Amino acid sequence: MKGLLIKDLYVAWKMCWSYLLLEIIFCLMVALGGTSPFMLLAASYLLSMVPMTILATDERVKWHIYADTLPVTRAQSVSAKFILSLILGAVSAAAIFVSGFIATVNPMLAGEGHTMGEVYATLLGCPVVIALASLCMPFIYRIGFEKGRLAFMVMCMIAGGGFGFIVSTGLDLLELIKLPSTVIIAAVLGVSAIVFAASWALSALLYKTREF
Amino acid sequence: MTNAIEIKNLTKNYKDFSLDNVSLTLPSGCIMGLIGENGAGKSTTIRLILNTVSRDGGEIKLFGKDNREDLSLAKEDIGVVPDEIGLPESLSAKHVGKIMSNVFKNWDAGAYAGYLEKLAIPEKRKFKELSRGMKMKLGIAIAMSHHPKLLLLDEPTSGLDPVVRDEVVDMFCDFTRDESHSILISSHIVSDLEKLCDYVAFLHKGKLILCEEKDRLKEEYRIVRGSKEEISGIPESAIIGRKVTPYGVEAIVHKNAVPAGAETGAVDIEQLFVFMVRKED
Repeated sequence: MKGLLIKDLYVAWKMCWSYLLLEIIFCLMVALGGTSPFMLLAASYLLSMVPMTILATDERVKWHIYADTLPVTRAQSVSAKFILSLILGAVSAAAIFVSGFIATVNPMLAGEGHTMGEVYATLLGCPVVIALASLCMPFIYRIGFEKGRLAFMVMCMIAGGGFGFIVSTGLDLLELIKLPSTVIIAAVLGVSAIVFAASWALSALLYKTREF
Repeated sequence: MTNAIEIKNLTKNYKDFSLDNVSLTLPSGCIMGLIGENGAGKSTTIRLILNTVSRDGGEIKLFGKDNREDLSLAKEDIGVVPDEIGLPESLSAKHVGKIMSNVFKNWDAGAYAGYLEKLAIPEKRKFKELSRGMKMKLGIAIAMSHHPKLLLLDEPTSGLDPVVRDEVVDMFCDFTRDESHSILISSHIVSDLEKLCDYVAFLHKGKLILCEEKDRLKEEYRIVRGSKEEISGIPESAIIGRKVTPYGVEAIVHKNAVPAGAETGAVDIEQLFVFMVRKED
């Protein structure tokens, strides 16, 4: 699997270096310019899309068929993409933490820098972004990139409709958020981890039986 | 010594195509050519051997073991050149070498560098900038750089110029000098297969219409040329196929049934395939 991960890292670097450049620019804006660290979540979102971009390219050049001829399993192919997702998530989190921390102690910002509370709140967005992006993967692994993306959009629309329905019933969602912050943090991390792990397992399961 | 590949009654059904009850055996140390028209089932057979598509019936053994058991382990001993080398376009041969060294346990970086040099593959040029022939050559270099025992080659010489094709065919011949090495190769270029193969298998519309030692085929059959009347004297059961031309009739006939005094010639594999397919149709 190491070979597959190296391949994905090479391709990620060749294709998506501009995303990293954007991340660095955002980091500088946060650390030196006092911009809100929440802005870095946009860059995190872009990075979280990298595994999907690579999957689309793999499909176009027929890497998935070539990989089947190598001594690797399909589960390992799937794992390489999810591990890449975690690596990129860690890069995003590190960028948020470092630039956020610099902003809090930067004397040039003269008190206009952000608090560590804001930085931690932004960091909490990282697992959410990664988990949300991973939801697309089982669709792509089962029916290919184009159809998978379409199916994912349909699913999002259904989920959005469902959410709208809940709101229309008059349920006060804000009441639910008035929980202790530790509970919210644990819930966000827990749900994100479950969603990510479930997407990983489901992708491996669906890809195992796919025929090209 | 165990056979490299044993296929018994292999069946795979698609909506518009079926691979029908194919059986063949590739002994270790031999080269088998899989010949067939487009859509005959050559690539499907290779995919089934690699278990990348599931079979509907039959049995496939690689080195004596069912191909569904420990296939990843078996693939360490198999080099594959698919009809399309699906490498990422932005990577170079150098990158590919680094990736494969972490994919194959037996990867030999020295051998890979040697093949790149021998086949004149630029190490740093991006894959998308290589010609089809170059891409195929890179696929061959990858397939041979981990010291496989079996090569599965799907149209490996297509897109190569005649000089390089000859060089590649020689490389495959060298590969099978080791008695434990075998090759299953599909190609449209029957002249390459004729030069290379010990066995030939003809696939037509998903059916195996012949699987035989090449030298035996060439010994057993003769091409007979004559008038319609002369050919009609040959028993129908001894005729593999015939072609009517403005100058008379050509027929491929079992050597024992060749009429005395008839004009005959040695049969080549391409003629045999074309005549057999015409008879089947």
